[in-house]
Amino acid sequence: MENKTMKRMPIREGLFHIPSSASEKPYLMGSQCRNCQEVIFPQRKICLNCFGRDLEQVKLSSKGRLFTFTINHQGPREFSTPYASGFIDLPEGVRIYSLLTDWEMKGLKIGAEMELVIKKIKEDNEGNVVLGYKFEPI
Amino acid sequence: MREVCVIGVAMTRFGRHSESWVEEFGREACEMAIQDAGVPRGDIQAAHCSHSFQGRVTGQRILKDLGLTGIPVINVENACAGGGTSFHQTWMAVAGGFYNVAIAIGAEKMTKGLIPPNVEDLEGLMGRTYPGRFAMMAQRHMYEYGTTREQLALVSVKNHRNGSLNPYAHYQEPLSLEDVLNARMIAEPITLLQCCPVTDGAAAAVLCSKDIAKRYHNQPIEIAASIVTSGIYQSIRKGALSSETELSQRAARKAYEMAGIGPEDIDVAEVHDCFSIAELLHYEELGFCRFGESGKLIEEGATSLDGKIPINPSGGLLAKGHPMGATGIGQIVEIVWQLRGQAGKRQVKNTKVGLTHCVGGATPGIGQGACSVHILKK
Repeated sequence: MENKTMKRMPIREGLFHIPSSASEKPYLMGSQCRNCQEVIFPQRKICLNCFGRDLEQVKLSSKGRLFTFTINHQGPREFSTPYASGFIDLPEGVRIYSLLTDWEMKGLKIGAEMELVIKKIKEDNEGNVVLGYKFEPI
Repeated sequence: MREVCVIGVAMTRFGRHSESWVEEFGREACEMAIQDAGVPRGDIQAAHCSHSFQGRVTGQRILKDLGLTGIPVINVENACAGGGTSFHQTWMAVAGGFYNVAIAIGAEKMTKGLIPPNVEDLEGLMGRTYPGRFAMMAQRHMYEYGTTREQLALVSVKNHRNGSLNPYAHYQEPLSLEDVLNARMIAEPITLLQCCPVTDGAAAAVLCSKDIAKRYHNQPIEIAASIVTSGIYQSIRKGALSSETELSQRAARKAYEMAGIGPEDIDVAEVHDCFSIAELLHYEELGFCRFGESGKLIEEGATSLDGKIPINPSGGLLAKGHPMGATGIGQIVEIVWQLRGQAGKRQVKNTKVGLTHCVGGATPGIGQGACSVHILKK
């Protein structure tokens, strides 16, 4: 159970925007290189493709397609199994590793459309809720 | 650049060495390799030692009781390709004329469980394990090419059959297809018996310049190619291959170019089968079959001991084990034995040219940190 004194914190700063109201949608933040137009996630100061240093922050599409996935039955101690993970191809041409959620009922299929959600990933040693990005089948 | 030969090889049995220090079993491997080479210790002028988890100056700690002191000892870390890298560095030192005789060592004592990610590795922090990573490659291969769970499991069946013939392997029991398929699921479709075990061990190889090789050993094995390289970012937007595939394919192409041969000339190979799917991917990347045909290749038995291109006669990482820094040298040891005709019950017939391949060190952005490919010939 989430205790009110627990803090909710992103797994790392600069990865995603957490919606402040129900009407707002979350999104991931990437970088786009002004030199070669490559879109990269997570954000970087240096382009992975051309090593240019002129990058701007961009909002990434919240929908993409499942490139591949697995159901993990063994994982790091703070993860309860089974849990699903996969790679999502976003329309910007970026392939993102992500945990997957809400798959038990809907099932997972390569090529299926997936949507971004911000959810608890794990609890840290102080009992704070660590938030991360996940994708779920639409 | 001078031509270089391997004149002495040895390895400890791979397995759990919980009662023994890395210094002890590492020294044992070196001692046997030096004896095999017939080299007086005083002739060894330099050493490279690969490991990932053994602390500082592991090579010096291993060599000091052999009296191999007062020489340059360089410790090498390159994840799963560490052993191949240590061998490459030793080759370069001799090929470049800096030393006439030098030793390459790999030694590792692993700890139980999954290999933890580097702390800055976001994917690792978000639950991406090594078996999970390869399971995702397997799912994609199944989707694109119709590769089956049975074909994946057959890799493990073959390698455990080979391991059962290898007194140096961690696991020496054959497994049935049902054993592999029904083992505990780790990351779908990869079961426990399709993952390399947690293994300790050491291996060593003595190298010297070709012109003096026969002074020491009557069956020197030539190093026809030695390549180490690293991953490159691949733009998905431009429809490139995955970084992993590009890396092994590029390393192999460079090695074939250097040796002046092609994949059809390889008689036997040891490849980096950390998981069953990895071996199938490497068949394609190394040119032993076309993309998408690796499932068929294993099913036809082409990569079995009596097949047209026997792969991992030692049992590979799956059965022989994967003590990280030692693996690449362990592969060299096996290929040297195969080329000399000393591989016992797992001897492949008519071997003239052999290949070894290691890849590892997951690095988001560039796929894998390191890949080594070596081609050895009689």
